[in-house]
Amino acid sequence: MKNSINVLVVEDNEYYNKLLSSTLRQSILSQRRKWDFKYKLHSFTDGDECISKIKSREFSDSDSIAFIGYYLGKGINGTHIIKTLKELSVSTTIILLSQSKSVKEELSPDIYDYFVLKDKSAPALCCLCLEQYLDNKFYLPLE
Amino acid sequence: MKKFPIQVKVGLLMIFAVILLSAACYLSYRNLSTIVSSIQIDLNPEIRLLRIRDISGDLEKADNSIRIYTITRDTSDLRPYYSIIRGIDEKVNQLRSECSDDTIMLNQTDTISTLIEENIVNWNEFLYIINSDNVVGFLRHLSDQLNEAPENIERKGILKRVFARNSKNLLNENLLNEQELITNIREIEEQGRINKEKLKDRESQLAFTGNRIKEKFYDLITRMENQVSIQVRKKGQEANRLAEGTYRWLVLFAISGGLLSILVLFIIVRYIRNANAYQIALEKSKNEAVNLARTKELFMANISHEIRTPVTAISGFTEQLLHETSDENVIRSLKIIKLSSDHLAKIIDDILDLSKLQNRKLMLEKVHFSIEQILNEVCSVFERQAKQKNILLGFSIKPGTPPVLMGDPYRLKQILMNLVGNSVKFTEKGSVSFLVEGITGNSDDVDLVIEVTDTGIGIDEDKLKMIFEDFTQAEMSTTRKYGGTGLGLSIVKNLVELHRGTVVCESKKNHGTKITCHLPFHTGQETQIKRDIDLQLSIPEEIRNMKVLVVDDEEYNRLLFKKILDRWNIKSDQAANGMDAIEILKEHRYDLLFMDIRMPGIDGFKVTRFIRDELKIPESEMKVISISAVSVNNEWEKYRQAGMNAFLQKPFTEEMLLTTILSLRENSTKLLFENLKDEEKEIASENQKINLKNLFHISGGDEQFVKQMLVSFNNTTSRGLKEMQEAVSSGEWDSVANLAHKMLPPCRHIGAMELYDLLGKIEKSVSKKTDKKKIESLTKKSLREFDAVNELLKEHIAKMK
Repeated sequence: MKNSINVLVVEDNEYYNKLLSSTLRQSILSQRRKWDFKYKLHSFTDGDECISKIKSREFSDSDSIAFIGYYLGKGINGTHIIKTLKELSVSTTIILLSQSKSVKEELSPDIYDYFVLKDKSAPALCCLCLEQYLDNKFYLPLE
Repeated sequence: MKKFPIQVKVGLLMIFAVILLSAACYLSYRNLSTIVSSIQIDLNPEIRLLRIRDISGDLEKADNSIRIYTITRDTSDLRPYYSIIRGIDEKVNQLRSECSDDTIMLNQTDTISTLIEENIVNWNEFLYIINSDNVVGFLRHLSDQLNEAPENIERKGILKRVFARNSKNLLNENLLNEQELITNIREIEEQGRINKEKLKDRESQLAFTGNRIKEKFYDLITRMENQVSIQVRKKGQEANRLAEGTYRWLVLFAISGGLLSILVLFIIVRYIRNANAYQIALEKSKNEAVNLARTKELFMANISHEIRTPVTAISGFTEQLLHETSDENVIRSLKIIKLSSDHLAKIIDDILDLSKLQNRKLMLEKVHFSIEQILNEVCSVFERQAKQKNILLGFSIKPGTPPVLMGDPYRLKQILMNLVGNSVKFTEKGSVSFLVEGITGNSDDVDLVIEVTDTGIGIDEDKLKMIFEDFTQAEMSTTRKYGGTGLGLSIVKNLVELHRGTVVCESKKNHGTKITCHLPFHTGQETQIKRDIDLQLSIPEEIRNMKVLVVDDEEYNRLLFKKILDRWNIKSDQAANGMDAIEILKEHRYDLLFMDIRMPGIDGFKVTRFIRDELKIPESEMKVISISAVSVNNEWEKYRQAGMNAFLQKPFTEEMLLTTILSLRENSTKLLFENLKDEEKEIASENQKINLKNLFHISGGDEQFVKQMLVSFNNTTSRGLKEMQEAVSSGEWDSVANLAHKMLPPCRHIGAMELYDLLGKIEKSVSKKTDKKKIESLTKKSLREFDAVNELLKEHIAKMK
């Protein structure tokens, strides 16, 4: 559906997961004053659960934007989620989060669209990425 | 048939329904009243019957009274009889009058009346007979008197004595002899017998008349009852008929009312359905209009960018040619080309401006400018054209007009360019002149009057109003003969209205046209006019101590900035995108930030806003200069709200860069200008495949910088072409277009125009969805061209070692 998006938050730390989800939800509500769209926010603390949901085509109905933590525990990291999404051709904008700059240096920039360092401004940066994603999706001309 | 609005239809139907209901109520009421009144009449006791019963009762009472009298011989018992006899006539007359409407009943009443009279006569006769029958009494007295037998009783007639009315006289009579007595007694017995006979006769007559009267009464009563029953039956039938009629009307009204209600309901439902459909259509149209407006904005933004790029190239190379030649004629021609290309760039702005004017998004600047300079520039643009057509072109400024005004010179020039351009275009012989007069008013107000007069083809009076509309010329044939888009006067009108001025057109077919504008300005100051002077700049000390961050996704631009800033001894860092810039700013502080607006990832507006709001870097600590190939176009407020402090349009000169930086500094020292020394290096290119003049000009003679730029060009273009080739093979056309687009500016900058053209064609071919083979062919040509360019670059690099 054109005017509908899925917002995925995959972060194993429950506190950080809630913080991100809550901040993104507020940002979405603010953006809905500008754009008319529907959304579904999906939060996962378990990477396996997210992968199985992706494989069951739960997010195939709409475009998606995913905020994925790199280290997800149980031997899973964010690249596994990203790979599954790409394998199933789910159109997703990827924001990769990590506390370590070295993750950005080690990974190819082709894997993600944005890299956000997990510091105090990370939630605000995630909202910025979401805002840009929505502007691009709904064709807002810059100038 | 004219359509009535829903309110009229429903109103009329409601009125009709009310009339129907009222008629139903009235009919029902009337018929019901008739039925009720007929019932009430029926309930009233039949007076004639009562009358008959009354008379009959009276007759019986009279008869009983006489019979009682017959027994009692008490005269008081006759009182009822006499009373009845006195009143019976009146009652009979009343009955007669009540039966007057029926002849038969009237006859019967008369018969009854006659019989009653007969009855009365009989009763009277009967009474007479009874009263005169005194035989027993006389015999008794006679017996008594016989016992006493006086001798000298005067003999009177016995009959007289018997029938004397006054019985008292009989008692005083003398006694008769025995023989007479026996004879008298026999006579008396005989008389008594006769009286009995008479009584019997009267009684039978009375009985007969009584029976007859009763029969007549019965007949009368029967007739009356029949009549009443017929009347009741008739009334019943009438009531039935009325009731049936009422039922029919009520059913009719009910059905009509039901149908009306259904009709009203149908009309209302249809109206609501139509209203909903209209609302949905309206919302859909509104959404489409919004999408259309958004698409139009995007289209305008993209098109302006795509058109400006080649126009900028024309302007830039013309400027270069101006420096390379000393031939006056060539210089004059080049100046005209330069002015025209600048004007062309302005036309692009016109199209965007018209769009913005119509959407009320364009604002006027307030700068000081020389009116004469504007007029000269306008005149010089059309001088050659006027000369070619052998028409005189000139302007005059009325004495008393303030030489310097404050307002928007670009928009004023735009108005003049459009008006004078039209006049020159549509004049075949004669002249085109424009007169300017500034009428000063209160304080520094100036009413600038512009009159543009020509001896051209003129305009028909009936077409004068439409010439100011978009894409409209006076006649269709005008477009074919003279060309033009038909936007000029529309822009003039919109701009004049934006100034809150007026524009009037007077024209006569084949005689010429005069357009008069009144525009409000303010008087300006000579010293405030900015001048374009090509001077070598001196960088103030305070600028040199600044730390600068440059954020631009194009490596070439970043290097350019770095070179300029390094030459100015200004420390600078770079970021290729907004996210990197944010990460850098988290750890380092800068005095000045150059922010490219259009970047992949997060755009410059959002990054700047984040820097101000989230990173809490205030304007007092770090200024932000936005850079873009697209002009601000009076959307400066949007830039300010994002937290930007100045704007620099690409491509920019060093002077523009410095001026922009200086405009941000408070208490900045004045610019110190020196005359430009003519020490430009000329680089000869073997086959014009590249031209490094511009690069050397920017480098200020720094060969290392030029070398670095050439290496950078080689690396980025080589990589870009390789990626583009892969994208062409895999059919990723969006990537092909983007890669070709990215490589254009560096190619232009080093003068690799053939490569520039090829890459431009590739980009256009993708957007026009041209045949894949053609794009492949162009890609191959580009690679070959790059190889040739690369060889030349290597030679230059080798020379610089």
